[in-house]
Amino acid sequence: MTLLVAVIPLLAHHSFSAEYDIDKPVTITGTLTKLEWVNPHGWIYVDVKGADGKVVNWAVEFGGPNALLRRGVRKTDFPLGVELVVKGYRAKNGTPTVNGTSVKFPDGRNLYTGSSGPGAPED
Amino acid sequence: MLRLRLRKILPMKRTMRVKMLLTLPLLAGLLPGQAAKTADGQPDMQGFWAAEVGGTYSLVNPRRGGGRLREQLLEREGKKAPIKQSRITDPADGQIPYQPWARARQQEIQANIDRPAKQEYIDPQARCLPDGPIRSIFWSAYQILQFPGYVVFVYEQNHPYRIIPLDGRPHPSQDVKLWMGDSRGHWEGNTLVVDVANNNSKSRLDNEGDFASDKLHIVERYTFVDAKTMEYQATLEDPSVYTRPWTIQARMLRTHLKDPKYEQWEDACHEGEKNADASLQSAQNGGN
Amino acid sequence: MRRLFLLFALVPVLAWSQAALPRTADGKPNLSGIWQVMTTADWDIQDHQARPDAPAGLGVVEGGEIPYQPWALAKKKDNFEKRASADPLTKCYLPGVPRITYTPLPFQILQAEKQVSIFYQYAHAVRFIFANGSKHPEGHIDWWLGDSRGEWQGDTLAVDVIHFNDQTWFDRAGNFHSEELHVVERYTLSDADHIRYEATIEDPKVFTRPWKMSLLLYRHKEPNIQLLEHECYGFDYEKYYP
Repeated sequence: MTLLVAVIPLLAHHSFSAEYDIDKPVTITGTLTKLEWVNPHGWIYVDVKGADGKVVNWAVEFGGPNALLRRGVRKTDFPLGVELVVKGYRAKNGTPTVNGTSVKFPDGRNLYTGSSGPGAPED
Repeated sequence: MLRLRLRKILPMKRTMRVKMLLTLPLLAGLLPGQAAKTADGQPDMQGFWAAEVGGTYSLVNPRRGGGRLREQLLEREGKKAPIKQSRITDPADGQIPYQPWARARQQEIQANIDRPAKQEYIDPQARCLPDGPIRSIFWSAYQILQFPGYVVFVYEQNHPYRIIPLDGRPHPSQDVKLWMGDSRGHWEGNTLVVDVANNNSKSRLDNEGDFASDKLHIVERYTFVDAKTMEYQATLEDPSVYTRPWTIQARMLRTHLKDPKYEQWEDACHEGEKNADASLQSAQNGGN
Repeated sequence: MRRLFLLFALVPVLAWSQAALPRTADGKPNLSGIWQVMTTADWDIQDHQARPDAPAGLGVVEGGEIPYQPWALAKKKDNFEKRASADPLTKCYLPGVPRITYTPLPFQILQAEKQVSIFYQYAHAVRFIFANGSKHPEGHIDWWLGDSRGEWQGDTLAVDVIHFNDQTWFDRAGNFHSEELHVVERYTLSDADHIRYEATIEDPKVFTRPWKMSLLLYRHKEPNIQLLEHECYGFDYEKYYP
């Protein structure tokens, strides 16, 4: 008989359908302008150039930073100005806000993201 | 496999089977967990633990966090969200025995959680309010610390804590209502029995509107089965909301074992919380 | 002859005051208990008169002066003017270290050999002081209460605290720091019911040199004393639940 050991992921704080729209998946490419390495959900901000040439600053929500901290990842590992490709779901309130499910760096690193939802390693 | 075998040897309701399994080793006088004791003679259950089936979305249909969004995504892929058996073992139908007005209220909250146009429909957990004794134990791993005359639970997410004196002192006046309730404990063999009064019940019991009033009284039993396993049982009583007392049962397992140097770190919450107001705004603006 | 007599007279006095300290099984002074300050440092860590938002009190800063760099002194004065809304405690944010020690609320220390746990009534704050020889995790981490590593130096628990964000104030008067804050706390049981608490502050971004706060912690001795709750960020939302 194998003894089970519980592996508890960081479970979601709230009902995502209240804020994000599953029918609005989005991919954006932009440069990193700011990092908020906070609980319960961290935020990264990226400047995205639209088709019309205008730059819009997008807010991307990701999971609490403790899991990253425990893996030795630090805020300083992400230099401002680096280009990122972000996938996620758009906020229902129409603002340029995304619940991020993946964030890719030019060197191929993938910052795990997703406060909850498929793709986050803890799922 | 073990569960199937047990069901054949002991063909009875799960609650009866659990009770029997817990008693037999006691009768035999062998309880492996009895080996370790604290300096003041308590069975030593210190360390990190977590519910075998975690998640505070629902008591009746427990599944992992992510709730509706995750379920919708899985449904799109033609998969079913993995929903586990009700945590409620008494009454036998696994449902909370609400009075009719309370059932209506629970359903009203449930209908509005995806589109919370009023403050009362925002899950208090989304506001980082302390989860209360029942909800906390399913939301994250927790640390048990023991000291002479005290057992302390510290939950990982948002780190609410419960300091449980074992000296039999009375609860404060019931006019004092606390988010985490007020706990008094004592040991019965390998079982920690905790009496929880002074509950403000404001954190509700899960994300789909299950609730109690501030008349709620809980009796918890943490039975240390072996070095890595605990059986948790909680009986909830609130004559202003329910028609009778009801009971939750869940298995707890040690966790973070792969990392013997694991430390509980700060997990501040409301300072950085922005989502609750955003979802309220979205719902009030008619967001679909 | 008289000197010898005095010497012998002192020995039992010294022995008595040493014996009066409660100790744990491993011989360390036992800090366990429920404690609270009587100082008004939470309002202002320096000498201050009564204000509409603060009782008068003598300060806890050794030497009285806080050695701000010139730009920082100007910022402190600006903080003071805006304190009614700018004090992070008005939003019930975690108070940082050492302010969490001297809020006007009790806290409970529960001491084990390798870890001293402190549970604060303020917003269910918890600090684990790891006293197992481990080092701080690699930096920098933005925590409200920092990372605490402790060791016993004789009968004093010395606690090294780093990894702070720059969001907390030392008091309501607007005394502040940067994320480079480094605090060394010292907890010394002066007798069974009093802890002498010292906090050395170092922050090369804000101050010209290290400086120190010094205050007393008093043991709560009421029968059945226990912590209650102070979930201040819930006050605005309580009415909507359950």
